[in-house]
Amino acid sequence: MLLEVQAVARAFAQGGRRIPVLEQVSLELAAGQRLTITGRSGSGKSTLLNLMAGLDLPDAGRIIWQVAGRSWNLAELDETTRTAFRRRHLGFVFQFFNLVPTLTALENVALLAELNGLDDPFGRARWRLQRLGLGDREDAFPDTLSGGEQQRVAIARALVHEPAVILADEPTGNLDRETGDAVFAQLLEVLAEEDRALVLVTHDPELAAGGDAELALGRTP
Amino acid sequence: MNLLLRSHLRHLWRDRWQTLLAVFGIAIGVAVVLAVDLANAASREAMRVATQQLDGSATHAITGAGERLAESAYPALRLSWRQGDERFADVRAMAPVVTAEVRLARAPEEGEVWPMQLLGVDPVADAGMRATVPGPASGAAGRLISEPGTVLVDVASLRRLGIDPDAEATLWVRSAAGIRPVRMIASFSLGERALGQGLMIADIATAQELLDRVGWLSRIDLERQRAAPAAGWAVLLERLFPGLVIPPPASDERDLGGGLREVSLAEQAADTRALAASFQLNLAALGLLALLVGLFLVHGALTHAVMRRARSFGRLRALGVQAAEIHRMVLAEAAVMGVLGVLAGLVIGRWLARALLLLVAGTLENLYGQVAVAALAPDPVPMVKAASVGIMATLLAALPAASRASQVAPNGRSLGVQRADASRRAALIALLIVAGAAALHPRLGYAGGLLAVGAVLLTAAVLTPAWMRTCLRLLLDVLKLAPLQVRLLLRDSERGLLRSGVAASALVIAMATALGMGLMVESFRSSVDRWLDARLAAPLHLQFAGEHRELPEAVADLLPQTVRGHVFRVTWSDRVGGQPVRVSRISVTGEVPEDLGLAMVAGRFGPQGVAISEPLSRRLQKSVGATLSLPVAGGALELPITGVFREYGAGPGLILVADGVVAPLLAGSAALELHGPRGDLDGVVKALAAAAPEGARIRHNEELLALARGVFDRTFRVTSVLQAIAGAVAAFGLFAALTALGLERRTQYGVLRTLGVDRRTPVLQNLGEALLLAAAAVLLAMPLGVGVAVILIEVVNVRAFGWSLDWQFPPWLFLQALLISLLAGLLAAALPAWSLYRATPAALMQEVRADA
Ligand SMILES: Nc1ncnc2c1ncn2[C@@H]1O[C@H](COP(=O)(O)OP(=O)(O)OP(=O)(O)O)[C@@H](O)[C@H]1O
Ligand SMILES: [Mg+2]
Repeated sequence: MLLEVQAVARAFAQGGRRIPVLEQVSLELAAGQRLTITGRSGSGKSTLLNLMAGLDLPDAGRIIWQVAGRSWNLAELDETTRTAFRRRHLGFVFQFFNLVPTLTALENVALLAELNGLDDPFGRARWRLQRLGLGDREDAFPDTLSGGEQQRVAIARALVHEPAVILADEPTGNLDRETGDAVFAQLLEVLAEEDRALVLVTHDPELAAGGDAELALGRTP
Repeated sequence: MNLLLRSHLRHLWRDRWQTLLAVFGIAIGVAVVLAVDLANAASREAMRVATQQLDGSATHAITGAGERLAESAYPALRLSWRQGDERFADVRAMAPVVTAEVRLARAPEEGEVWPMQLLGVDPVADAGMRATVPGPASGAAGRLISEPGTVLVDVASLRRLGIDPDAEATLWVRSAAGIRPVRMIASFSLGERALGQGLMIADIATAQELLDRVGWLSRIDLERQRAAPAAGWAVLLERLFPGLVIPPPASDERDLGGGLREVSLAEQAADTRALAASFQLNLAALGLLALLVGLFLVHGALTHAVMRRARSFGRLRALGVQAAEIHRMVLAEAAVMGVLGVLAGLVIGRWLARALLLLVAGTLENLYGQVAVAALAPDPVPMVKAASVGIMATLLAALPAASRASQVAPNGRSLGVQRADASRRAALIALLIVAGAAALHPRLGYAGGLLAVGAVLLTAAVLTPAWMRTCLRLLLDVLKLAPLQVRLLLRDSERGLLRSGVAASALVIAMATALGMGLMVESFRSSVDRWLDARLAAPLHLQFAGEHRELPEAVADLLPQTVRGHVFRVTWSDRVGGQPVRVSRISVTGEVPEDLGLAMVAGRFGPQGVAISEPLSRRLQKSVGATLSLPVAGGALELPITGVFREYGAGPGLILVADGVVAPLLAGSAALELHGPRGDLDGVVKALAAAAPEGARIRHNEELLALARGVFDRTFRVTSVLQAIAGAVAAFGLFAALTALGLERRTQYGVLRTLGVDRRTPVLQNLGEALLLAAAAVLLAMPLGVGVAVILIEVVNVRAFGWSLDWQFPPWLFLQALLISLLAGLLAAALPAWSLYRATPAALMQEVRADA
């Protein structure tokens, strides 16, 4: 298994009260598969994604990744190792694109390759942008790109270091239907070709359909 | 309340830390301006009160050469006044005075002494001229006249020395004449205002005996009716800008024949105050500097606040709010900050003034021998001035932000990067340079010099953002192949200039001032050192007690066997061309340094005429070749000026006259410099001590050098305190800017951390940015600091004090400026960097959502 989430729980303190957000959540994800997480707003989708990425730690339960012939139990790792793991093996696509405004499209993509110490980061970045049809916008700064273009740059950034899995939180949530569908189709195409897994958070039923597995989060009674 | 206004005020509240920083900037600026004004006003008031106590209602005084006259002249003058001499037609009172500075102690050996002005009067003639002198019919006056050695002492001085003011006591008076006992028969109060030098009143005869001046008076005071009160606007101007208006030197002198002349007391007092004024004006300029730096904080904070809200301005415009309304709202916001800042500033200012007053008073006492400590007066004028300067300055600083806010297009999302209009900036700089150059016109005096310094600093401020941008772009070009993280740092720093550029301007101003002042002080210190070393080259100095005309014989007989050469000086006070001076008659024997070790600016010290000090030469506008009229008993001597020498005392000008020019002129305080001791120094000291008359003090030159250097260091303490305040405010501005940028970039850091950038990176980015800005600021501040130093040394010092200095460029000063600036940068970045370090990526991402 690429990822095993075992009986994870997470609660937040709010105004002195503990509000449980996730309770006894378990799931599995195999390499190259697509997992969709759905649920009402506030049901804990982003919280779960944060736990998977090691951005946050669960109160109970285990999250274990098996990548590159090694096993990573996130709860047992320190911050530095978790960061290094994330940098090397995960890719992210955010709802609001979140490109670095002071880097060009090309540089935004190259950044992750460079951080990972890969050879020829700019060559890799250029190739990624070309595959997504952005070869002619390499030197543009994010504020001059359209939303769809920005999200495609973000997808290139998520893929440039060849991660095992992409975590995407509402990747089309900030795009119009048509553009969103086009961008998402491109993402799926690349992932299928390269055999990478995807964890997708969405409340768009159309996007949710067609995954290998679906986890529906709801408030536990 | 107006809903628009309410929304604006809520923004202020939401950004309360930034608001607070801006308010703090205003507060510190206002506080320093107020504190300097209050401290200056208090010390000037103390001087005025001290003069008032001494002079009472006297308006003029008759005196002779050496500021003294034979007692026998008085009855004749009084008679001619009584007989209706038309020269004294409007004189209402005439009273003789013997006065000198003395020190009061409880016991002859006691270490603790208190400075006093001894005032010997004739209670009968004085009648009513001075409030402190008891009326002729009172018991105290009767005892002063009939019992020798009786005095009255002010209550505050007695308390200082721990003496019961209500009981009679025997006290000891130390003067140039030695230590003598007096009988304190009663005390009097001087009121709250003067807390410095005390006042001791005695009968003329008692004072003469205490001072060894039997047969001599210091002056005869006249109360004339015609003295016109100062114009109302002049009084107001003086209170608004103490020391700005310096009255022209006294010239109202009347020759009464027989070596006597009449001078105006008001102008005499104005003279000494004018000297102190140049020091005080320097302080006031530093106060304004602190305000200027504070303004940049406000400007930076407001611009930032407006930028953050660009989108909401756009929405308001789309909803139909007028551009002018937005303009007004931003100004109202600034006014709220201004009012808060001013209120805080007034409170801090009064507190700061108290601390400053001690420093200022100490300096003035050292520099001018003035009594300078007084209680802070509850004067509303400086408060109102500081408050209005603060509010107006805040609104001024807010104008650019307000106009940018009002230019946001309806539904617009940004202010639009205001293309730095290069030509407009160049025009502004040209204007500043022209204004600065114009301010250097000699007619504007040293105030013009300070204006020019202001122009240089403003130029710096205008240049700074463009300079920073250029530096960062250059680095970006050079570091083409550097890792993306480095380029990201440079790009972010450049983008952040919209917020941090203004803070950087403040830093450049503070650093340029610090460097300029530092260069000036170092040049000063080394010039003074060299001057002192030469002037105090003689290993031994002997100061005689009392007054002398000639070298006491017992000492003179001893000298040929003990030293190779000696210089004997007799020094007295006088006025020449309306200027207060100290005249020294010099006798040189044996081997002594050329020109007495004086650093000559022009000519030489010669046996044919007089040598005068550089400040006096400038004040009199006379140099080598001109003639000087030197008052001597019974008339005046016209003597050629043969030399001008450097002198860094700020007191009266110095005149040296060789004893060959004329026979002993007047008695005065006497001192002996001993050059080239034969045998060991201790032996020489012993022999001299045995031969010298009672009360003589023998001192090694190290001791005198240490004393003189101590005075110098104290003089510059105030300046460095104010400088440090301006620097701290600038560092604070940088802190505010970096905090704001740190907050703004949390989103970006959240994303980067999620992508796998480790937590050190945001920290390094923040620190790196601060260091870059600080380094660039220092680079710009260096040439500007040199510019400031040039003006301070070549214009301000020369015009204010008449001092010329040798240039010094100690490299450590530049290094120090760099280090201080980098340190300020690090300190400013520490807190925002720490908060980024501690934030978890999840928390940072939380804000990503909130932000979008
Ligand atoms: N750091 C936190 N502190 C306190 N409460 C939190 C924190 N993070 C999340 N929560 C709470 O946990 C619950 C789940 O949040 P989460 O962001 O996971 O929801 P979501 O399913 O992603 O919703 P949406 O579809 O609106 O994005 C919410 O009620 C939220 O308020
Ligand atoms: Mg969510």
